Amino acid sequence: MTDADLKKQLATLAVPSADPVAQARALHRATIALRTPQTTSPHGAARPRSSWFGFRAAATAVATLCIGLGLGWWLAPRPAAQIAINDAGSRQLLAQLNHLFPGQLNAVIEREGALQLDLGPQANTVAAPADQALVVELHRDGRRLRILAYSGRPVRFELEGVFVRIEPLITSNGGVLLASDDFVWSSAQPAARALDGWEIAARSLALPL
Amino acid sequence: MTSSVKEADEAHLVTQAAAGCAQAFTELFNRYYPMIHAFAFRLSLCPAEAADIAQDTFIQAARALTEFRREASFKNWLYTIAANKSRDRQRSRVRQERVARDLLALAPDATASDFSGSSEAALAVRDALSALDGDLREAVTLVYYEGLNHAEAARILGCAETTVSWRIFRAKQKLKKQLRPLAAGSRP
Repeated sequence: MTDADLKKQLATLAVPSADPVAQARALHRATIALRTPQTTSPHGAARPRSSWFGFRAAATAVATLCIGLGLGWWLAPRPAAQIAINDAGSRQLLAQLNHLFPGQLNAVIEREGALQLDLGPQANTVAAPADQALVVELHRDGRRLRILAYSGRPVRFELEGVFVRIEPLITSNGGVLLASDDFVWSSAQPAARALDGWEIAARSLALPL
Repeated sequence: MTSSVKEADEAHLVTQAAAGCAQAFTELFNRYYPMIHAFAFRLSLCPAEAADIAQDTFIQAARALTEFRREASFKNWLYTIAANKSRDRQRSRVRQERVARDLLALAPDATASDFSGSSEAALAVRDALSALDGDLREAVTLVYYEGLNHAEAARILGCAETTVSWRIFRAKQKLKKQLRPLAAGSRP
């Protein structure tokens, strides 16, 4: 067998095309890594600790107060229509709760006026920047489920008595991809009803550039 | 686009991405992901592993962009990271289990796999490549599939050029031995 024959044979090994969900997930995670400062610097530990901790304590107190007020506002009984806050309110609520549960908050789920938090068992090592926030809305027969989440963080919620796990991803062009074990939904093709007849809508909560 | 314009454009993108520009990084990602994914697949011969290696490569690249010294091209720098990530994963038992599962699914009677529809020749090549030691497969992938010369491959793999030449020689011997029966008209 000549070298040319060998090259010809090696060329028959085809590469499967890249999975678009895996690709979107890789971009998302790499972009977060790009924004996350490196912590390996030996000078990192040399910061003035006392003033830093003082600032953190004050910030935590203020955040807790804001969250308390925000939750109180959200949880107060009122007609369901009034709970549908705008994107700015959603962003704010998500940011406040994320501050209260740093790295643990997967999603805030609003169902018929009631709020539920989806928390991870332990803090995520990857921070969730505010520009990765998104909202997913499910509608069916007048019923409505609203999920505030972060791109790349799996969300688990109950739907028609069954637990559903989805991973929402913001794509490079600002769309939203929802990936599950048995379906993929894209805001680019929103007509598909993948979740047992529930109509899906999703969009990024990032501020327009 | 001419080669020099493309290089200048890429250098500009790398500079912007290193400064934290997500748009520039996304452009680089979209430009190189398919190539790195293909490279990772040829190293691992496992679609799931390829996706993980490609992801790890770009996460590492994002973290280390400020340390990119431009001594190599950006593409070869990504190859270096991917080769290291692949080695890291080869050491892990998780990978061994997953590959074993995938290879099981790739048995001739498997109906649903990423290799379904592959020709007998392609399956034979996959088997022959998977029978090579990791360092031989790395050399074959870089030289035969990615089209690099021995010197470039040596820089990526962190070894001497003569080592790459020797690995290619050994790999060719083994591949030819394994694939010869197929060339003669039957599976080895």
